[in-house]
Amino acid sequence: MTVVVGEREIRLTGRCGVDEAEALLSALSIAPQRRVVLAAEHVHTALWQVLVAMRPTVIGGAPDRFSADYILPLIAQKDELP
Amino acid sequence: MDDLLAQFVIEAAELTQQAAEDLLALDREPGNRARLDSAFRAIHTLKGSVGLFDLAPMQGALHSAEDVLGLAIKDNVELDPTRIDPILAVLEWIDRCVQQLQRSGTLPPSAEDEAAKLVLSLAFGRAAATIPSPMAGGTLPQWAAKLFEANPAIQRKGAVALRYTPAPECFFSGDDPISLMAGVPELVFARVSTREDWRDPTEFDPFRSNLIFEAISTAKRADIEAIFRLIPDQIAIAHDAATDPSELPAESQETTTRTIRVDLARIDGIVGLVGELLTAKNGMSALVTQAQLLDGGLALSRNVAALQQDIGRLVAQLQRAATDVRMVPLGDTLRRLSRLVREISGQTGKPLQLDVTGGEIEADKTIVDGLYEPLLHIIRNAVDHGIEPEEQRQIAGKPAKGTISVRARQIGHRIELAVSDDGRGIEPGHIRSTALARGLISAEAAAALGESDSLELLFTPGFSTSETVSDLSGRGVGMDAVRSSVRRLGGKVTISSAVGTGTTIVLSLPTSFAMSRIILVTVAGEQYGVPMESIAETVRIPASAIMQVRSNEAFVLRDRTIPILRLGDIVGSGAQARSEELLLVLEIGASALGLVVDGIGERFETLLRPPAGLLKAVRGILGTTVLGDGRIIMVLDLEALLA
Repeated sequence: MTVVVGEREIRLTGRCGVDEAEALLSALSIAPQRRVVLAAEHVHTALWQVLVAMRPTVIGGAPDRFSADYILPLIAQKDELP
Repeated sequence: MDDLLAQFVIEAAELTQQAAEDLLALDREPGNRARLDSAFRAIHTLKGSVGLFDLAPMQGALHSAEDVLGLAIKDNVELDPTRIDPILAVLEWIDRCVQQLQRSGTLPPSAEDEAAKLVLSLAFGRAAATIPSPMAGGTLPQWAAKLFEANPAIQRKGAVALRYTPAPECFFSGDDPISLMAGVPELVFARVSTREDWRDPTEFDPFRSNLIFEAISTAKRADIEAIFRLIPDQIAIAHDAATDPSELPAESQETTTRTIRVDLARIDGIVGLVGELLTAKNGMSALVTQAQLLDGGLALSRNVAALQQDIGRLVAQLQRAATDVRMVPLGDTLRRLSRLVREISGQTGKPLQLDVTGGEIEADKTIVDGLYEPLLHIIRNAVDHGIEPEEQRQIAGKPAKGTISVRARQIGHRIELAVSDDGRGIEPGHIRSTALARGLISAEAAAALGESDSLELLFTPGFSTSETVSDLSGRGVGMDAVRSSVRRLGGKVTISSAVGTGTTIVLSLPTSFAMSRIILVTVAGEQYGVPMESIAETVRIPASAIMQVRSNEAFVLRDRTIPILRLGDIVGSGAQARSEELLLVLEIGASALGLVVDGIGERFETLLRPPAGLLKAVRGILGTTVLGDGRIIMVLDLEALLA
């Protein structure tokens, strides 16, 4: 498992494939206050989408420059996406 | 870029400029017939040049523009001013096409459509003349234009815009859009939006892609296309076509101003001034001597000498620079030969092939231009007398196609052009008997001639071995004409031949003749210049060593009998008897000749001016030069004098 759901946080590690998207979505749906720790070397778009849609508090670093520059800000922003 | 294309780029710019100026003048005064003719000629010439390349759209547009002008000329009417704008639009478009050609060597794919629109606008006059100029940036689709507008800080030039709309079910095809985007090189801007609003978590389908990516990258378009090559239906890529980075060679934006065309006369003016500067510098030698004679003038004389050396160095550099300006590649002339060979092949029915190497070697423009004529004669002679008819070649076991090769190489400050054919070669005995039959030599002389001397007979005026006078070589344009035109360029011609396998004629020419090494000789109190290159050595011999051979004189130098001529006799001032004679030994072709002079003076490098005015008509004068003391000296063309 690359998505490790804990009491207070959800940890993304290793290579997070598309099949983990559902697990991440349900973990965040049940407890939206859980923060997500980014420690993965790869995160599939499906998981990023879940994060963008649910906007949990995210800590840790994005695995690549593009996600860091353009995806993380989407998760952090408070307003609705256009 | 191909040489021919490079030349075309320069020419096209001039012609479009000319035509545009003419058209604008016509707009002001529609009745100006000269301008109309000039515009027509410029466009006509341009069309002709375009025809050398595979540029159908340009050709089509120019053809239509030419038609409009041609019709006005033919009907002798004023050009309808409403027709001017569409023609100007064509010229502008041609200019853009040429710039594109210069950068990438090809026309953009859109050129055909654009040409078609221009042709339409030419037919309908002003109404349709509002052609968008897509190559100037109009090709950008709206989304890309907006993307660039949103980022005014980003240089549009060379930037690529992309819009990636992953299909909703793309995850199932194994796509990972964000990691694809992460792979786009040199990203300078990106924005991510959604296809539709995010739904409530209970309805949210995590396996449906809902993102849209837009980005600007400064990478090459091809590199970006490679990333998305598997999903062409989900990606849109756009860039400013006029500045496609994938087609831009480095620094290409500067190439347009790299060359200018200058009237040769202006360059020659500079070369001439450098020559005078050289003379003025030589004049300082006298100052050095004068200073030495002054009381305590030694230091002054040293200083002047040092200064003279400095100036000499600078003048030499300036001279090299000025000479370099006149250098053009041999290819300019050699290229014309292939058309000639095709033509001759057609006329004679002998299949021919021409191999040319060394076209990149550079020489003075006058030399390069002057080479065409001798090369033309040599090649015509080779085909006429050398290359056998096809059947004979087959019997001889040679390829049916005769080969003529022109190989140029540079040897120091000279170029050597070897023109070889693989024909039947030249039989020395045949040459001797023909020369004998023509009364060019005596029977004894013929018997005494060696092989290479026999071949030399070919260069005798009036020699022609062809039994039938052909269309090609004809009469009168023999090898003597070749030798004299090459000599005018300061060159030499030698010939070698092997019976059965072919003939090679070697032209050896200076790369530039701006500078000549001259030696001063004195004859009967007059000074003349003689080019050093024709002098093999100078010898002093006792008068008694000169043998009388009938009415001529000769002497023996290292076991070689060398005929003697007296320069005094040639220039028309008699010689006095002396106990010792001074001779210049000249090598002309394969033979040597001793030239008696009274004295030998200074040797120096100088700029030789070609004979002008009255001197032009005098045979045997290579040119004039100015000495350090201002005296003008005639430089003798010995080979012409002795011929």
